[in-house]
Amino acid sequence: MKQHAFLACHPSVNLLYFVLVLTFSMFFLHPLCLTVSLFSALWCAAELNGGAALRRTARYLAPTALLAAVVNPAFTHEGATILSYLPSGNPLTLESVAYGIAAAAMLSAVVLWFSCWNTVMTSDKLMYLFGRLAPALSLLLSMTLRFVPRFQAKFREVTAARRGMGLYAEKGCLQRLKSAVTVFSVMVTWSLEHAVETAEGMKSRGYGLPGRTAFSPFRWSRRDGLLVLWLALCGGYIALGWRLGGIRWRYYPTLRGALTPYSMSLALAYLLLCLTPVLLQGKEARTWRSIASKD
Amino acid sequence: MKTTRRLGAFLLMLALLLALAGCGGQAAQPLPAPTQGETILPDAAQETEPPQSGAVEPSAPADAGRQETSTAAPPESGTSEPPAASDKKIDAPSERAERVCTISVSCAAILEHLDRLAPEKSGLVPADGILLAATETEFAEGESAFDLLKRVCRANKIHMEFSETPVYQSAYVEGIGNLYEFDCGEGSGWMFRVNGAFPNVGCSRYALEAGDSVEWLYTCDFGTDIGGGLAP
Repeated sequence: MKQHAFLACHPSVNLLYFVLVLTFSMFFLHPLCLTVSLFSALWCAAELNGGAALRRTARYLAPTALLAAVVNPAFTHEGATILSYLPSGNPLTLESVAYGIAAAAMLSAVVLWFSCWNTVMTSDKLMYLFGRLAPALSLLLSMTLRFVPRFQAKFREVTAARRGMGLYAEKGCLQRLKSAVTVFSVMVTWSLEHAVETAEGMKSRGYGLPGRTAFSPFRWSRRDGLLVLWLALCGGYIALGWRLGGIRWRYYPTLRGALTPYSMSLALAYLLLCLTPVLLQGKEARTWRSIASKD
Repeated sequence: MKTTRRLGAFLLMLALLLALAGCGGQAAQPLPAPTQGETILPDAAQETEPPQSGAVEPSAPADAGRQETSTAAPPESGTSEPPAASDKKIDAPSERAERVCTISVSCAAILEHLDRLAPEKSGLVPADGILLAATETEFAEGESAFDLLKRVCRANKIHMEFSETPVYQSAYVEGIGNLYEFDCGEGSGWMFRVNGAFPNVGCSRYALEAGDSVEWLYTCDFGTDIGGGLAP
C-alpha cells in the first residue's frame, strides 16, 4: 500500500491536528459543524484506513448511531414543537428528535476520528512524543494499548500448540471449557511475566534516565512547519469564533442559533481544518504526477 | 478476533435493546392503569389519612357514591378518547351539570423571579403568566387531577411532560409548556391547588369532584410563594 502523505508528517503535526479536530468535534453542537465533522471524518477514514476498514466500522457504527438517535426522543420530551404523542402519553417533539440526530452524528464522527487516530498515531509516534516528557506513563500506555491484540495473538498461538500436542479437547462442552480455562490460566501467567520482563528490560536499557538519547526516524521539515502554521491559523480562527458565539446553537426549547455569514465562514474554516490530510495527499499526488510526467 | 469483535458489538446492541425494551414496557403499562385506577382510586383515597384542610370533606362521601356507580356501569376507557367518551356517557342533562370542573395553568410566580429563570426559557413565559385561562370541562368518572391536565393539555396543544410509576399509580408533572422543575431556581416546579387548597395527595391520586376548580401553579420557592408551603 502506498503510504499516505499525512502518515509521513512529523508526529507533533499529527497530534496537533487530532487534538484540534477531536476537541471541536466533541464540543460543537451546531448542525453545520456536525455535518462538516461527520462528512470529513468519513472522507479521512476512507483515505487513511481504506474502504474495507471503513465498511467494517460502518457495520456496527450505523446501528449504534441509529439507536442513539431513537433513544433521545424516547426519553426526552422537552421541546416546543409537538409532532405526535408517544404510547406513554408524553409528547414526541421535533427538538428532541433533532437533538437525537445531532448526538448520533457527533458519536459517529468521534468514533471515526478515533479510528483515524489509531491508524496515524502508532505506538512509536506516541513514544517519541511523550517518551521524554512522561516516560513511565508513555510506556504504560504503549503496553496497555498493545495488550489486547497481543493477548489475542498469543491466545491463538497457545491454543494451536496445545491442539497440536493433542491436549485440547475438541468434543464435549465441559471438556472444551476445561481446555479453554487451562489456556486462559497459561495466558494470565504469561501476561504477568511479560509485563514484568518488559519493565525490567526497559529499565536495564536505561529507559527514562536523564540524558539518554533515543533513535527516531522523524525529522522536522519545512512542510511540517507550514502545516503547523496552517493548523494554528484555522484552529485559532475557529476557537475565536467559538468564544465569540459565532457557532452557538441551542436545541431546547426551540431550535435556534447563529446562522450568519460569519458562522458560515467558521464552518468553512472547520471543513478546511478537518480535511487537512485529504488536501495534503491531493497536493502531494499532484506534485508527484508533475514530476513523473517530466521524465 | 473478528468473531470477538462481532460478539462485542452484538452484546452492546443487546444491552441497548434491553434498555429500550424496558422503557417500552413501562410506556405500555400506563394504558390499562386508568381502568384499574377507577376501582382502586376511591379505596386508596379512603385509606390514606385525611388530606389537610378542605379537600377531605367533600371527597370521602362522594367517593363512596362513585364506587357504587362504577360497579354498576362498565368501566369506560378514560384516557384514550376522553371527550368522545364523556359525550357518549353523559345522556341526562342533570349528570352533565354534575361532572364539570374548571382547570387553569399559571406560571405567574416566575414573573417575580425572572432573574432566576434559565435564559433560554424567558420567551416561554407569557406577559401575564397564564398558560391556560380557567376553562370549564367535563370529566369522566374516576378521572384524577393528573388525567384532566393530560387531556386538557393535549386538547389545547400545550406541552406537558410527566413521569409515571404504574406500580404506585403515581405521576409526577415535570414540566408544562416547556417550563420544567428547577428552571427557576432550586425550589421551583409545578403544584396543583383545588378549590383554593393544596391537597395532601399526588395529582394522580386526587379524584375529581363535580365543581372542582383545579389550578396548576408554578412555584419558585417550594410553594411558599403561592401559599402552598409546609405548615409552620
